[in-house]
Amino acid sequence: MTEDNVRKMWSDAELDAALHDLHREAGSEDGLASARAALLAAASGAPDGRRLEGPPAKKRGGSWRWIAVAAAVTALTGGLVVAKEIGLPGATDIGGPVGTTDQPLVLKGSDLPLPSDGYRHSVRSGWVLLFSADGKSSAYVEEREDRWIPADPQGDWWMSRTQTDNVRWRTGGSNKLVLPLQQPGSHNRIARGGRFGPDVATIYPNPTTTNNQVPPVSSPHSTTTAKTTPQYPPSADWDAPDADFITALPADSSILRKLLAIPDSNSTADPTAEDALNRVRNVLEVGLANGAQRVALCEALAMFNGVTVRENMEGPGGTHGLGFEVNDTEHLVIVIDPSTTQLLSSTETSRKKYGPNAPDVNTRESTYTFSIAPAPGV
Amino acid sequence: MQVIQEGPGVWGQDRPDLGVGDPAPAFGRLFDAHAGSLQRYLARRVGDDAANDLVAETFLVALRRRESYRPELGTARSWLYGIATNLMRHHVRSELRGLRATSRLAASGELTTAPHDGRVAEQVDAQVRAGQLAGALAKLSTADRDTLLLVSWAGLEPSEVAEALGVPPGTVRSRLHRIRRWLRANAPAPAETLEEANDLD
Repeated sequence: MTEDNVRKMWSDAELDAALHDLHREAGSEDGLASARAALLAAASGAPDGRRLEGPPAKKRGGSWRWIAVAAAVTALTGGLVVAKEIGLPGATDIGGPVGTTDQPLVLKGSDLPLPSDGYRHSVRSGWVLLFSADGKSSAYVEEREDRWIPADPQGDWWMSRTQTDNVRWRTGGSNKLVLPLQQPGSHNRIARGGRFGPDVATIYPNPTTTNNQVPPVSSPHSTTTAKTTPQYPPSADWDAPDADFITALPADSSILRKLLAIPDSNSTADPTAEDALNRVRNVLEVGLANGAQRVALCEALAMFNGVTVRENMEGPGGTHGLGFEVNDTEHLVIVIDPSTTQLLSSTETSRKKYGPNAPDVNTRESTYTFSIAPAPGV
Repeated sequence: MQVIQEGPGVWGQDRPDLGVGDPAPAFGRLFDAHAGSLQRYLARRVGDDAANDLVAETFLVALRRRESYRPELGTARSWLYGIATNLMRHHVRSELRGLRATSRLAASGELTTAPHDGRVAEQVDAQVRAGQLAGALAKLSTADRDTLLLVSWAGLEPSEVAEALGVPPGTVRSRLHRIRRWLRANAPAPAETLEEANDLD
């Protein structure tokens, strides 16, 4: 062994010194003002939590930073492809509106005036495809879901889910359909802050049968109990958005675009375009997101790879508006009203064989309405 | 360790109860206490611009998931760094590109060609040494790099790193020992640096 092939080992001191010196010039807090403003806007549930502009970030030298910037530009360009196709606002910042539309589409997020004692009332109604236990029969069953959210969204949310006996047979004619409910009827629940879960749900009389009176709740303690001894999942997510989740969403499409790409806490897989569209639909159909949040959500969705935006798209129930479409394991479409950015309809179509002899069929069609109600059940 | 003025509580001031009341004041204090140091840590890893975005995302995710914060399981600081570490997963490639670029810069010899006085030469040597280390850091697994840099750059105690990463403290200590031993043995000498940097591509 010669001196040439003896490798010198670093000492601990050399290692610590090198760690201390590496990239130590990085770190400018100039960009934190806008982050703080966005956080506080989201935390306070401000009606317009749009990210406030702080002082511009100081530009620093260093070759490795340029590489990081280049990577960021690449990421932005990935989103630009879609944004340019539909000419959404914001595309002008990075290239100008070009693509399939001559005029930039402008999404407006107008909200109905809500009295302090009023309720946001959202209705999802439509058809869901169900199969019989033996798989030989399938039918579309009519369903309707009403949700009433108080002006203070941390209050009690009311939800009524109804399946009628209105059935459109698709194949067969068996009466042994597997229904989520054993028989036509309503399943009514109440939960503080929209934190619906099996342990906090309270069954109350069908609000539609109480002569437009507020459903008598035998036990508002259920929500009180839920607060003191929480048995519901501690935090909702995109699949079951509650008041905390929705009011915390920033009205900033670039941040939302990144949030849409973050896996759920119980998953390590990156969300697909299908996931992103489902996430946005889940939030929009609740009816709590304010106009600025809805606009930002739709802009963020439009930037997601795999999401196609189509003008003048038709949906179920004669709905007509701006369509967001994903063709993956399912064909998912939501249609929104660009004048309010409220959800108009959604369609889910299986792209794979879904049950016996049922490839590429619509598995769920829904239409949505959003209004203001003086009380739950009205 | 920085202290958050949260008022009296069961768990102490660095473990605020974030699940009750108006979140805005508590998160304002959290941000003021930790955003600066978090930004500096992230900037060293992915650059200033990405770091600013990551800080914003970290606190928004924290706000959204505030009910999942368990004071009995760790400090707010370690919880925030845990969230940031998860968000960093989307920037691994960017970080690696930065480390490799630094390594190449050190290997290019530009830092050592000009004659310098003693003090400048010392600084240049330090930069070269840091560049050599960059190439070795790029070869670590993401989990190992997180562990090392949360201690060395973020200044977290091993117990806090354990809280942030959700692993036992003993695992962090043994991991740190293993990483440092590997780096000391494998960080390239100056003559090796260019070759090492090219090998990283």
